[in-house]
Amino acid sequence: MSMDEKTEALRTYAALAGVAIPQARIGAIAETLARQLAAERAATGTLEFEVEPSSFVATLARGAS
Amino acid sequence: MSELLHAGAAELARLLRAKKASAREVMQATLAAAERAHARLNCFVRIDAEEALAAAEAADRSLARGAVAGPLHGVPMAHKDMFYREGVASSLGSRIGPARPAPATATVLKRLDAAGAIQFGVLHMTEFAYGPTGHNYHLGHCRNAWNPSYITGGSSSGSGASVAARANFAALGSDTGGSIRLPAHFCGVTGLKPTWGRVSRAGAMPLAYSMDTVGPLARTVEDCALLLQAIAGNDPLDATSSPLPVPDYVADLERPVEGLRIGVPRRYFYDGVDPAIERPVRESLDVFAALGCRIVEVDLPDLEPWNHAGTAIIAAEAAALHARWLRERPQDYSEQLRARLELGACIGAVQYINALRLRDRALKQWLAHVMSKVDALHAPVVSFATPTIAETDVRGGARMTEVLASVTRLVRPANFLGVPALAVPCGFQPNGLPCAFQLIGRPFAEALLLRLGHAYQRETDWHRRRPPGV
Repeated sequence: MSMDEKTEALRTYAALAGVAIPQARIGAIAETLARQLAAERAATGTLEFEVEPSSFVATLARGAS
Repeated sequence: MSELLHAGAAELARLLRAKKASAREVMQATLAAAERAHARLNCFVRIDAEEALAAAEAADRSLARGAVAGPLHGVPMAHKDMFYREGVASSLGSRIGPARPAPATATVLKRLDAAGAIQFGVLHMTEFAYGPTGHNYHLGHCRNAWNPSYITGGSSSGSGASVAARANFAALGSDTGGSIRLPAHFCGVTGLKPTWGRVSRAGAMPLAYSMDTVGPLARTVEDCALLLQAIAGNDPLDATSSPLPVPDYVADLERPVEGLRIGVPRRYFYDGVDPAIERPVRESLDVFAALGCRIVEVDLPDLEPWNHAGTAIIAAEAAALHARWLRERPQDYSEQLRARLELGACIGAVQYINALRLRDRALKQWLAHVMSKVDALHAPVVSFATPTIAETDVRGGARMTEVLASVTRLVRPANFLGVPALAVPCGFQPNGLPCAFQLIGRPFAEALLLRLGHAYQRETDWHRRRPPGV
């Protein structure tokens, strides 16, 4: 997918939610999202299927002691 | 009377209870200082002089009868303009804001009222609390008391500026991505971001549910302890507030710190840090060492992905909250906020949910690999010399993402992990602007952070230094 196609897809995605993103900003948004996604994929790619739901709140409470 | 303005909230409360000052006189002096500070720094949104003076007179009458409302009896305070007061419309630092007066008062304000504090106004903030520098294109930018050309940090900009200018004894702020610790660092005041869930958010403007916290900015650690004591604890109106018991933060301040382990990160927090920041922050470690603390170097997990995930959570949740206005009134946002909300609107559900899933694993890693070795992690709040308002006036332009990310880089990890962090002034940069370190603790370890911070402030006087002309 070319950068132009990616930015157009993002604009369409936002437009479906009723948000009109100006052409001038969509390129920067696409670049930022790409960076975020790459970093996040690297970190979450090894997350296992959860046989029971994880709980951030429970971990927070357990971490108190 | 003007010397009283330099007292901390705890010290002033003691003087009022001992009847060495009257609440009315203190309020009059505070109101005059607030007017002066606002003219120079643009740090207030509204000052409610008449109501505040009436409340101060009532506080004096109560004291004369021997009735003390609480530990903050008669202490004047103004708060970030995002904590709702019944019958009053908050600006939220925005052009849009809520058009209607609030139907109920925020839990934190009710708790401060019950402790005897008197609110005399509301403070400048970044638009909808979503910005780390203190710029606001609707209200005008808030200015730093140490030099009005420089940023205050945000989003609790007015909280930092007014407390530093001795125009306010203490203020509430909110910290979703650094918004208490950044103004504390830039303005030279003390600020505490509590554990997520420690303080109720009922009646406080949400920015991002999963990350929002409410906490104090004040002159001293002791003041922060006093305010946290008043506002912490479970609240039936906020389902995310923790049922864990609230310790006696104030009594705990005097416990010894000898033997506590202070962690110094080998990587991330000092990567590329400006010597102007590194020097005072590292020097503060000498004080802890002299107090008998053990200084321990620690390796950290890779924090960059956590920062990206935290940024995505905040952006997505903020975009969801603002969805209607973003569709119907996009022109009423500043260019910068609109650009950030638009980015949030492009985050997909899988990305958002995986970012939330990562939080649990990240916190487990943090507890196992870092907090098992130390009692608190010590680090800079910001890695570069304080910039001017003009230098960081990036609006929604090409440099926006890079500049804002650089400001929040060292504060975001504590938000993502949900853990408490205390910012404490520790010196000055060559440009004359203050500098702080942060102590990051285990979940719900506010008492320990406050104890360490208080011990540091007993040995130093950085928190007592006054901005020029104040």
